[in-house]
Amino acid sequence: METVVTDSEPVQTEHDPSVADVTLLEDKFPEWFQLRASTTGFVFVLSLTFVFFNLLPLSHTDLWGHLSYGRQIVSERAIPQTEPLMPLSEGVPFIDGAWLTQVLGYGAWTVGGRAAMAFLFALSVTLSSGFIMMRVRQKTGSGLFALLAFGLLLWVDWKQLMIVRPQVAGLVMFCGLFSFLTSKKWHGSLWVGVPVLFALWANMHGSFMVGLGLLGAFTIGRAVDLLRRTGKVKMLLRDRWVFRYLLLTELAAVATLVNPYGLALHAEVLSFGQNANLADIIEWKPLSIRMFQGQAAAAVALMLIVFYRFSPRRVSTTELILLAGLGVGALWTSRMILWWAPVAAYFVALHGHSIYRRWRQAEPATEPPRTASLWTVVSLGIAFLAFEISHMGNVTVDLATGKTEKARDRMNKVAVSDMTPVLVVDKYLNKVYGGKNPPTGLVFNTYEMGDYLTFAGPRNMKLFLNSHAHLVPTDVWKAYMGISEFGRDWESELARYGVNMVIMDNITRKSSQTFFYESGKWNLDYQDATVTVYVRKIPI
Amino acid sequence: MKLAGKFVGFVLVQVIVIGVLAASVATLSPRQTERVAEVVSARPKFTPVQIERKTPLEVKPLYDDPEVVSDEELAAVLFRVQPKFSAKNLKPNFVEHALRTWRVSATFQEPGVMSGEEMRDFLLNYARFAMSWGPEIDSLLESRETGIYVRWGRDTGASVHHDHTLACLTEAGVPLDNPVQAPGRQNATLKNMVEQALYDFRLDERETEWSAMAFGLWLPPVTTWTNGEGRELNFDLIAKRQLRGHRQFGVCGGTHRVYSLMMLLRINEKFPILTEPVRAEVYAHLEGVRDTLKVTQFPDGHWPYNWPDGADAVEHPGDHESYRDVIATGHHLEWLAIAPEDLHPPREMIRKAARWIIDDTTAKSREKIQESFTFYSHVGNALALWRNTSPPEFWHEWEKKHPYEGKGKKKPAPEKPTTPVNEPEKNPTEIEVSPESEAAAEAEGKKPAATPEAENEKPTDDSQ
Repeated sequence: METVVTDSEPVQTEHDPSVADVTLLEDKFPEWFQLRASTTGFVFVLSLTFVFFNLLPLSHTDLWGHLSYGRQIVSERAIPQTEPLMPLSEGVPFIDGAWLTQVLGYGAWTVGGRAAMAFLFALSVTLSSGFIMMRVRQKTGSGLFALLAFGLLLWVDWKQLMIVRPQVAGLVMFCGLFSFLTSKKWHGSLWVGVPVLFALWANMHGSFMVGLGLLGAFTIGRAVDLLRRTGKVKMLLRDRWVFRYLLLTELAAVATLVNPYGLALHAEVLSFGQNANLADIIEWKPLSIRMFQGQAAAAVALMLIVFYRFSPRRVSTTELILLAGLGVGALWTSRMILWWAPVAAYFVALHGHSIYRRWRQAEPATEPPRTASLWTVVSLGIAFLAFEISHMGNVTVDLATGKTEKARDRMNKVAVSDMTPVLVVDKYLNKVYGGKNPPTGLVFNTYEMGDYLTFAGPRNMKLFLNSHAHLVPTDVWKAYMGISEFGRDWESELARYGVNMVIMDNITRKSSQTFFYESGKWNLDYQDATVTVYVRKIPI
Repeated sequence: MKLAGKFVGFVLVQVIVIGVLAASVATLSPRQTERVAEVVSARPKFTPVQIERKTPLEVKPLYDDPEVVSDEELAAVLFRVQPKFSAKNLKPNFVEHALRTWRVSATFQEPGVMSGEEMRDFLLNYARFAMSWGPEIDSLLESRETGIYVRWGRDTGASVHHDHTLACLTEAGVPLDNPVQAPGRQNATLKNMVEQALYDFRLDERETEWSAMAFGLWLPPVTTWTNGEGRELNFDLIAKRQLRGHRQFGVCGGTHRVYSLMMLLRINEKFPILTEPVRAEVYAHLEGVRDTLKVTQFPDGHWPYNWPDGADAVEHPGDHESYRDVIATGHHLEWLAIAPEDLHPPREMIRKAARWIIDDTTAKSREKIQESFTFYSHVGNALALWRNTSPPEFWHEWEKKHPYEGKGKKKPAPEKPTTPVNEPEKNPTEIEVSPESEAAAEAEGKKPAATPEAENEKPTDDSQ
């Protein structure tokens, strides 16, 4: 098949007169609808990304907890002021910085169930990586280096991306903002778009603070570079970029105040990491080389060091602030790697490309890229196919054709991770709690299962905790740790909290069976591949 | 023109920023304002709930039954639980127990017995405490930004239980404006101590019995408040916390939880501090305790320390020392004295229990009792309550009729014990601490268990 060419003379070729010469056809679509062939290549890569993440099993933590809070907010038509789902956290102040994501997520759940969750998750990852790819390609003109950035981003953030939670929405906004800020051109729409983005961000996830830091880094970085270059402070006042960044940062900061808590949200976000309970959670621990993401980050950092040594490209203060700031953040708590990865991937690609160009002694392309509406159509087709392949695509087709039951069946067949306690809910808990004499007392559950049990389990079941560890009173958390690790007082702690049922996961706590068996006070009441349920012989 | 536009834009943005920021600050709730201030200043900010009373509530006894305890028997018991302590290294725990039993109004004709005011001042004036313990031991009281903190735990010279000092001062009727003198702060009052208790109370800490009682006697009609962590607390939560878990948990074999619940129930009669479902839950729980008492009494009248085991406790008596039965029986008699009759086991059982404990107490010398003062003080208080009086009230009247005549001359007439008494087998300097307390202390790393056998028992010589 021959390419439709728009910017050059039609190519004269010999052809069969009985067949139309497509090269003579003129592309009648407007320019904005025309894409480059390489763009279609990116669409293909992103579509594959979408399909891949769409097919990943939904994680067992976080997602279900956030859906539970979303359901709570929707049913009460109000954001709870105190923790509403964990009986042991009654009265604990609750600043729900992700309320909007929870509500939107729950709304999507009511439409598409698990399929909708998989769709939103895959879409978020695709958009995030798409923003970085797009900008690298715009800056370098190289699809190869755009792919490099894409690969590095997914590699470093792989572990973080495995958990479906509002943070993923934050990543979309972070990558989007970063992409806009690194654009070659200034768009007037940013004066409105960025504040709106931050107003949304502040209601969707606490990572809006990282976004403000991003804006601040661009402001300070630009100012420092200017001072370094000119040595004149007055230049700061005259520089339109410093002025723009500064005002944009201010407007964004003000926009984040548009949330149900006002300034208290900022106080909560800033002090969040100090919660003592988080010290026991691996993702809040400092980044270590023993972690997968630590190894990936170390490799990327090494690449950066090497590239900076050889790169002819000027290193801006902004990139130093961002890489160092976010890097130190990740060393402080490994969760921050999520934000470091896109920035690092972007700069690796940029400097890598500069080195490559110097090595090849290549000049930047002077000819405008060839575009055609054909690629737009092909791109749309690929994207549509990707959607159709996805769970949500199938569900949509079923719904559109009136096959409601089939759609419902499909949306609940979406895979979940091995540690998701689906069977115990369906085959055991719903039965015992739905009976005339449901069990009394608290149910001890492992942290990893609390979210799903809260969302899908019987509503009259009183669980020990869910993954909102920061809302669990410190004493309760300590008791939880003691019990889940079978410390010396594990059994008396269970009695002290009036626990009559224990749901233990079999994947990370295989040894639990020995403890319960040796105790003699518990019956093994249910077991499947994921969990074992123990019930106290004489209830408290 | 371009510059002017830039300037206007700049000013406009600053106006927007300041305006929105001001509006945001103005709309913060008081708690949110505190939280923001805490984060900004990195120091605790706390506005305690307003206490509307100057003196604490008092839960009056309901019965006057001389068949439970006669005047003579009561006098004999009270004589043995008088606070005749050595002035040196005076244990706060002893003084606290004595003060709650004898109240601030207590005076004694016998020299060397601490008056109520002396006991109060020992607890509330660090100079008095220092006179007993010397300068090398930390003060019992500590001035903090959020109030007056009482040092508690296993340290030498500390109060043993959280908020026990406050609860005892409260039960003793010390008013809110009573002066409190702590190192570095001479002008504090009991209010500051209550405020500190409100600040550092955690619902899930090991021992909440005394906080529950102190809050119940000070806060009504207020029913909700927040602690230093911003957690919204109310009496429903406090009551449910006392109900949580196996009955064996809690100090003194779980009896203090029962006492605190009974107090809350009585307070609720005057000030509705509990919601109806929780009140019903508390009542049902106490009915359960009543039913357990019906099946756990031994033929001699005592209730065993392992009473939460139910009938099994009689068939298989726990392997505990007999002094623990004094603890259980004395504490049960105490809460029953303020409980409505519906929550009583048959009166005959109560009389039998009283008989046993009177005999046990009066068979011991006052010196012997003093060594195990803390739980015998409960016996004195319980028996006084069963005569619808209080120890100081009764003793003042008693001393009017039976004046002190000097050492060795005056002897209140005790009833002769009718059954052999059980001599304490334990180290008499030990105090009663629940398995919970032990675990708590160890969990906090304050003091490891002395021996494996002592794991669930406790005792250290400095914890009295």
